[in-house]
Amino acid sequence: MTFNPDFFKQKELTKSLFKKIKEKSQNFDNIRLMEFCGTHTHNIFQYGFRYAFSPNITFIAGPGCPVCVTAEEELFEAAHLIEHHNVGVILYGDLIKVPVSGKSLADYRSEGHSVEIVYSALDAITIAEKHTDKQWVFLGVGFETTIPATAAAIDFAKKRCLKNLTFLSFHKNTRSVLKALGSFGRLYADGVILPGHVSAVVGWEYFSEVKSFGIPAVVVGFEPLDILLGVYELIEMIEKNDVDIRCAYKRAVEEKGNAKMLEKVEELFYLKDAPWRGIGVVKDGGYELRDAFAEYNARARFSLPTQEFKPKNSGCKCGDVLIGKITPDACPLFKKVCNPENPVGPCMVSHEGTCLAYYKWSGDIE
Amino acid sequence: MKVVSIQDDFCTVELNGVTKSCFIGFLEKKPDIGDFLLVHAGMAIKCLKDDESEEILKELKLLIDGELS
Repeated sequence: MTFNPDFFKQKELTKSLFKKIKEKSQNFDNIRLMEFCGTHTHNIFQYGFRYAFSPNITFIAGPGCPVCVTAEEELFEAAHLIEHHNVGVILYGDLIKVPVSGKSLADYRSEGHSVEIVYSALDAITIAEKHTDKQWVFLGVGFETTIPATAAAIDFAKKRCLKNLTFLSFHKNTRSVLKALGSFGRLYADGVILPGHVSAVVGWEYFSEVKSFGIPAVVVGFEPLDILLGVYELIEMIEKNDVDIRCAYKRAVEEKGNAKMLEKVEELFYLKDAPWRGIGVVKDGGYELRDAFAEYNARARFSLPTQEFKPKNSGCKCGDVLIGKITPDACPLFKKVCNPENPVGPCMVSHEGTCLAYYKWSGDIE
Repeated sequence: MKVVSIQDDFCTVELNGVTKSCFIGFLEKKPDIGDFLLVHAGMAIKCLKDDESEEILKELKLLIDGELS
């Protein structure tokens, strides 16, 4: 059968399912569903679902915005490369505006440094081949969804014998952070809406350990009907105390994921303990390039700061927002000194950031 | 995003009139022109198949009629 991209946008089906959830939600006083992924956070607002089932169902945002969880000390490494090694930096868009102790990579670009925004890691190859007189570093940001792109770019760099391009991995592992939060009782949720695109790469079975925290979880897609199907399934599981992992995004997600991507990532990277902004160091929370690929690792080619980075205390509560402990409006800086024009923290910068979602969509709803 | 042309390990995909180049080397098998791909950061993750909508439609109709609740 031909794929119909509009099937999951159908108004009448969405309305009917919405009513069904509304009825069913009356069985709950207040259950908390955590949407891990930043795109879900924005779509739940955009489709009007955020407060639609209040107070019976509350949606809380999780740590699923890659830019938001990139640690300040990691961005400090990028700033150090620009300042001390005169390299050009290549990155995905949102990262450029995140301030590190008051200065962002956009500020460096304003000063005349080479900071290039790309759509794909493969675009870094084009830039490095075009400007061979300069050393370039690609900043690898993102979860299991994005790391295959970095792996493919390293493969291309190797095949083309590029000597002026290296990679700085800030990549993060979503399963490890869920385990870390769950193990320390910091998963403030009764059910988890698992990330659809991460799951398309790794497979839905990948998250089965979430069950050990006594919390059901469902892999969910991004269209209106997708989200409601996932919510319905999740609240049904909560009602029946059915602690399991299910997939409500079967057209994109299989049990085992994309084998070629997983093999390539495993070939190039290993898991290491890594800092998550606002959460701290997470065991196996990040990816580093294996020694066999050291010539493409910026940390191996350039000397980077080894002293502990001490960020200035700005009062930003992104850390608590990222784990769903508070909503952005509980941060004293929100909409006062922190806004999209002058973001204090990364959650207000990224298009997947929770603070930006609340700024754009929540209005004055309390 | 819809595949409009294919060149070796790359294809051009289109959504709402916007076209992008996309790496398809990680797909299990090469897509055909007209297929829909799940694309992230210039990488095709999966070729989307319509193997669930009919089942969902059936389940939703039952659910909405109160037979599956």
